[in-house]
Amino acid sequence: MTVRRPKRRRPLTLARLAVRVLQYGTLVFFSFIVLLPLWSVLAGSLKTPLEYLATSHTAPPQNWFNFENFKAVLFPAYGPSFFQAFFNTLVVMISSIILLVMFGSMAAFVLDRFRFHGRMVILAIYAGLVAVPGILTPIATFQVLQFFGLANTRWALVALYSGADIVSLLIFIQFIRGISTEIDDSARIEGANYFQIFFKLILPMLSPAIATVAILRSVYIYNDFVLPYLYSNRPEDWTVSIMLYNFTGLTATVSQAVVAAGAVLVILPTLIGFFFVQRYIYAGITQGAVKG
Amino acid sequence: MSFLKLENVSKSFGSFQALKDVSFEAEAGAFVVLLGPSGCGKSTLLRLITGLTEDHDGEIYINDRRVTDLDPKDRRVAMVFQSYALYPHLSVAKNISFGMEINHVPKAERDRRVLEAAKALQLEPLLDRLPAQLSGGQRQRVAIGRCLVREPDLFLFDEPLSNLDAKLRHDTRVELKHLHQRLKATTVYVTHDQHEAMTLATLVVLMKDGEIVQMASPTELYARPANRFAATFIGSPQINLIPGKLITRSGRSSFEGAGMKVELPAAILGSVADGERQVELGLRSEDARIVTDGDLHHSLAVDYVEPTGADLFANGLVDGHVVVVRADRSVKIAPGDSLNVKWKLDAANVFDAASGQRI
Repeated sequence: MTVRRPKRRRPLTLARLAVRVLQYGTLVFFSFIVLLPLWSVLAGSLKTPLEYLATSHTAPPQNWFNFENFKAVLFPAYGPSFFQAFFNTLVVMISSIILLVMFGSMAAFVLDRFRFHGRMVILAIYAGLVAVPGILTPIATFQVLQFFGLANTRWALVALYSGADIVSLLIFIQFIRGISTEIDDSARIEGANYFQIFFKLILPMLSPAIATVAILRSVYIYNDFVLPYLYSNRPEDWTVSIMLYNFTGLTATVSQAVVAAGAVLVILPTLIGFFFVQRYIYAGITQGAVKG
Repeated sequence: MSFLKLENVSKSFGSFQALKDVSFEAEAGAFVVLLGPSGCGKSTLLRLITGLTEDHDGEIYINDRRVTDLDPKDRRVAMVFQSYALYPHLSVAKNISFGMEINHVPKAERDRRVLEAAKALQLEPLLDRLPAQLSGGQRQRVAIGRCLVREPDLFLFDEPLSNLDAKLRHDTRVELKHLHQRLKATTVYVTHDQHEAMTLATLVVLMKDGEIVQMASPTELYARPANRFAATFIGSPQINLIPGKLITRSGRSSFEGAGMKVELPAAILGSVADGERQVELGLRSEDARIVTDGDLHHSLAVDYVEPTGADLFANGLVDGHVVVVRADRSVKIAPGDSLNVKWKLDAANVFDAASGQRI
């Protein structure tokens, strides 16, 4: 058994105290900067329209239980309800992530496991696409979507989000490279074909990579404004970001307090989601660093 | 008729020739070990037998079937990989039955065979575990179990012990030996470890640079190596090679070198033409006797002593050449001593100095 000794601390000199104050002061300052807008939105969402205009943005609401603004967001006088928009976002998010994971992991499997001419060209195209500014392509993209009859439907978003980006692809390639090819060889001797090797062995082993990609893309899709704004703006297809935007538009008649309530409702699912999956987010982000 | 037969197998990767005209045969029930330094082509040869590597010259027959053009799955072979290649997300039972599931073997039959294999390999209590929860030896047993249920003609092993620590390596080697004695399954085993080859094989195929150097039983390979490479690759400590002259006069040969001038027994030499030639005399350390009388071949100036427990190995110089001799552990030897050495010459091998071939 080890004998527990009282912890010896180095004495707190004036210089060390000054460093501490500076360190913690900086942390507090930046936390304040991050939290202030959130506080302002939360406070604003509980104020009456008149109160919102009369008081400062940081002042607490007079009545902490004034949920009128939330009612206005959840059941608006016209346009789709918040539930509808949230549902739309979920549909787009889930279907495009399923497709993205399938496309991305299959492409990564082929790019890592098979040596063929043009392999590097395909990777280069994926990487090169990052360099094309999105602002150059909307008209062409719109025409393509129109050709397929997808323009102005939520399936336009699914189609656009489900293409694997280079980051997702590299995450998958990195993981697949870490799976010994002896696994493939062993399965081949046992009589498995490439589809069986992929679906029964590789794909289940990819689950950490799938979690990482799904989280990264969910955050992106949930927050994205540009694509829904351009390609899917029928009110019944609105995603939460578009709905929020339409509250603030020039023609909008609602108070800023309602917008604040909308913002709180949009943040809420992300916040709840974060608490459940933060373990995977950390794992996903540090993965590349550790595995190299 | 031999069970496994390779005829003139060659394989190139680009301009690199990995295997050059390799032929060998093995009887049913043989334990063939492909032995050689890394890069000698032994793993390539194994992959050709499985069919995982394609496009080679020559023919391969397993159990009287020509398998040269068959897919891996149709060759009736099973393989244990270096990493064991267990499927990490599947339980032991699922790992063993994976191949049967793929091939639509009915569930009842699958379960029966899994249980049978588990019983044979003492895996029954582990069937529900994941590979990550097993020790190295247990993982190997699962990998072997996966082979057993396929009831293959041929078992293949690719350096299965190289990832284990020394103790476990010994235990699993013993386990393999037991298993082979019990099942009598024809096996091809790849290793670069001469100790594994000697202890497991019934037939050792020694390879170098894509070619077969020698094919022999372990004892023959050790006693009668075909050339200098075979002699030095097998045996620890390495065989002593003493340079000198072989002088043959009317059928009687004698060796001159390193302070020795001895007549060699005719049995250790092939037919030798009269004359003189430069040779190396190969002598194993255990064929030395330390003598106290005057009847000695030469004396060894001891440089250092390596006790291994059972024996002592005295390392030193004889006439400027490094020589190791084995001594009884009770003998007191210290650096700087001079030992009188007498060799058992009927265990010696003579190699041509230029070609390295045994004479």
